[in-house]
Amino acid sequence: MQLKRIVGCIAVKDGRAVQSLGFHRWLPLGRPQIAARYLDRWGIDEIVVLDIDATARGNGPDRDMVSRVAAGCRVPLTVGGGIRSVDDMRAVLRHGADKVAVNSAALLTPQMVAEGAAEFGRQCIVASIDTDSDGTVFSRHPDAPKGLDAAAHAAACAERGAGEILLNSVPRDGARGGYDLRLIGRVCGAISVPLIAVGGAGHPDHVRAVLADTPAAAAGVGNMLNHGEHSVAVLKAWLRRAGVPVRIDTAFTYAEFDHDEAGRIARLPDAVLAERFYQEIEQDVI
Amino acid sequence: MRVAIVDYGMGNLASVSQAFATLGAAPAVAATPSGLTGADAIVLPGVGSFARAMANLTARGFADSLTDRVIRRGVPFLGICLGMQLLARRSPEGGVTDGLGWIDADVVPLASLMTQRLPVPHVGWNRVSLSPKSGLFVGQPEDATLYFDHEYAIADAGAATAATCRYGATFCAAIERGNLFAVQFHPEKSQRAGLKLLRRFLEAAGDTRRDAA
Repeated sequence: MQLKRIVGCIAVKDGRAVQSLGFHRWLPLGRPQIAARYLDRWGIDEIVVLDIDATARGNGPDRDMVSRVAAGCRVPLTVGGGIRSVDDMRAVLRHGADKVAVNSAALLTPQMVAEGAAEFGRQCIVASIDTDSDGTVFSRHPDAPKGLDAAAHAAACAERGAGEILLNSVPRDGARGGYDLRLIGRVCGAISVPLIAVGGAGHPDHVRAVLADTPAAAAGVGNMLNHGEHSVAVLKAWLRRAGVPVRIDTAFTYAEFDHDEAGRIARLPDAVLAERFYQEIEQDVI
Repeated sequence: MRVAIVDYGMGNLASVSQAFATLGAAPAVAATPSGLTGADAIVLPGVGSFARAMANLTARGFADSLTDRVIRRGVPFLGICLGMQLLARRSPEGGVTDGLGWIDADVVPLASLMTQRLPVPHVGWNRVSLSPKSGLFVGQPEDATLYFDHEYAIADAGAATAATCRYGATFCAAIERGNLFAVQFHPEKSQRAGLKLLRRFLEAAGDTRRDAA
């Protein structure tokens, strides 16, 4: 059985990890490399770092930031934001990224997707697509085509050489109300490459819904993972219980815990905690 | 242990170096064949398209020197992802191109093998089935998962097959033959399971070098 992926999404603005709300408000979180390191240690399947103001800044991807994030990351790392050329792609790959996400470039210079795929292989190129509530592609860039259908754009990107589609939703960004399941299903139907759905996760059940009820290969989760210890493992324990096939490779699995309505783990009974005092845990030596 | 990581302008060198450094080995990036001199083990990483990779390997003089060191002199070798496919006779990716030809098999598009329609490339964590004599996977739990990200694959490497993976089709996930090791997945990106596997490779490489000495 193909395991569904949980992808940790880190939005970066001015070099700082932020919580993004509707693409127009940003709350600071801290250093991106710290966020990435925790996600990694807590059992995330993959990390996506999007430098959301790099294109507007116009001076390309922040290579040092990529190096710092990659240094603590033992899962695949996708980096996007400010990619203007194949040389930019090569730069972020050399600084530790495993895949490159292109967003504005896929709209303004679509042949770059093909050039990147020819150089680095399709599996390395992720087309990142932001969508509006009407299912059209969202872009702040004045030269971007208007009213482009997200599914048509995704299919065109895949046709040119994108190996994955990262589909985000502007109105659902940071809203914690669940993913845009209809749009995700529609875009999946238009492509034969894997889709990573982003935007709207606020409860484990939202993640379950997008992985169980749409053909999406992966769920991108952002802020939901930022405010709790072992958040990734706790989410995966919930998902596995709900029947979603996910990878669990951490020493802490939370398999024996119950969850409250918000999806947080419930306290273990006193007797269990008392017994734990004397439990010997074998050290995992790599 | 000195691990030379082949830099042919394609691979994710940083991730691979870092994983080996974590395990206490001394990784060194080799940008020219002279960088392979004195290495206890050679690693060929891989992110890229086959035709471009082979052209780069040849242009930088690596193709012949790798064959000399690994096949003739028996230096322990690990190919990762594209670095495994390059060991095959040929691949259609980027126009039919001859590979290093160390393994008697061809690279084919994964989709051409598939009996079940699934998204391609094959991206994500998957389990593998081991051949009983595999040494790379010693110590892995039964349900260990590794990270795959590829569009092409070697369908079957015959007796050298150490593990297979199933994704709409069964394909070769790992190769072991004497000093030659190769994996289709990315151990450097497979968290603890991946580090354990790289540890096994370092141990095997250490044994091979001792036998040779």
